[in-house]
Amino acid sequence: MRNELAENPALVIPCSGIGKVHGLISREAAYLVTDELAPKKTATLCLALLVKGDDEAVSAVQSHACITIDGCAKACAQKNVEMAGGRVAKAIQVAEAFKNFRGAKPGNASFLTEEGWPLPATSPATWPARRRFCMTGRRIDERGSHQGWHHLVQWRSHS
Amino acid sequence: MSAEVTKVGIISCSGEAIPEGTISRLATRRVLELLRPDTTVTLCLPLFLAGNEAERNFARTHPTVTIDGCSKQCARWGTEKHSGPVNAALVVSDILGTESTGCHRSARDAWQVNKEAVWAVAERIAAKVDSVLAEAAPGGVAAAQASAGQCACSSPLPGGKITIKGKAVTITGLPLIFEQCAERGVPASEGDGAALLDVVKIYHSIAPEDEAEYRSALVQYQAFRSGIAPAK
Repeated sequence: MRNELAENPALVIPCSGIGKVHGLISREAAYLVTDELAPKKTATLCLALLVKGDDEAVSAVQSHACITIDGCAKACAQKNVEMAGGRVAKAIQVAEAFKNFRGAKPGNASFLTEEGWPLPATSPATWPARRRFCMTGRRIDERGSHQGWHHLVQWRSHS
Repeated sequence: MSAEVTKVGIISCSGEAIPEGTISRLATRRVLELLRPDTTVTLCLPLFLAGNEAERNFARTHPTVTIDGCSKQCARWGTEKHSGPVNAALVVSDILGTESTGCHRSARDAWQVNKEAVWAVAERIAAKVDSVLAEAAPGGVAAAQASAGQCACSSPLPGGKITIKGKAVTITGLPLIFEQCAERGVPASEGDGAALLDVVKIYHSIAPEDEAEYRSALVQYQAFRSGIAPAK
């Protein structure tokens, strides 16, 4: 994690919500970006470590552009990054991703269903982290399969 | 500690950056949903740390168990700072040791090693919950456990009996399987019994020629979903 924090220009920080599916979606969206879509440009860090006041975590959010992904309106990720003196380039609410999936049953706090897996991938569709990255590609198939949905989004670096 | 305490608060590490964080959250959920549903609740750690008074008050008046992914122990640190000493503190990396090697952060990559790690940690949490409750209210624990899943602490998994070809067959963990299927929305209707059978086959060997009979026998699940206790 340390090397990632030092080398990557952006931090994607999801909410830690454990009670609802929204928290899980926020984390899966973060992993999608940091592990698959932009692994050399982004990293993540533990929100609790930041809240704890860990020097390295605080320094990281102050020196990187931060994209926060929150599961609920309490916006713990966004608020805690701001409280630590970090720069939130974009604050995302998972609820935005639900707009394209009205009536879907995405799962719960423990797992995502077939209907739930496309949701993390649609969150980036609303990400104007386009200062650094631009998302191209077509809209996610609303019933995209677990195995195939992540191929439907492509990111292109503008840096 | 209040004498009216009935629930243990489990505060899990958020640990988004490491696989052990994912394991700690999923293990916590496993305890809440399956192992000790009647005696546990959870709290979102950052919400707790960031100053939500309602959740902090809960941690002050209820026994708490923290489960951390790594030795930094953010959950324990935060709980003790804001609410006082915790009743028990577990660290996933201590529990699993090298067994966490190969685990992944994302549920997309949740392979068998992840699942086994989650079960191992969940059972440790459940055991710790039991001991905390025993200390808090001796004598009240057994009653609390009676309606909860009991597969931790080396206790045998509760089985469920069905009749196949005139003989009683015990399927280990059947009530838990029913709970998990209900939670995942597996349909109960006879026409969709195949979905339930597929799940049961994961845990119980069923000969192909017996599948139809098992499918019919598993109508107990329908009763379970209707809120009627399945026959033992």
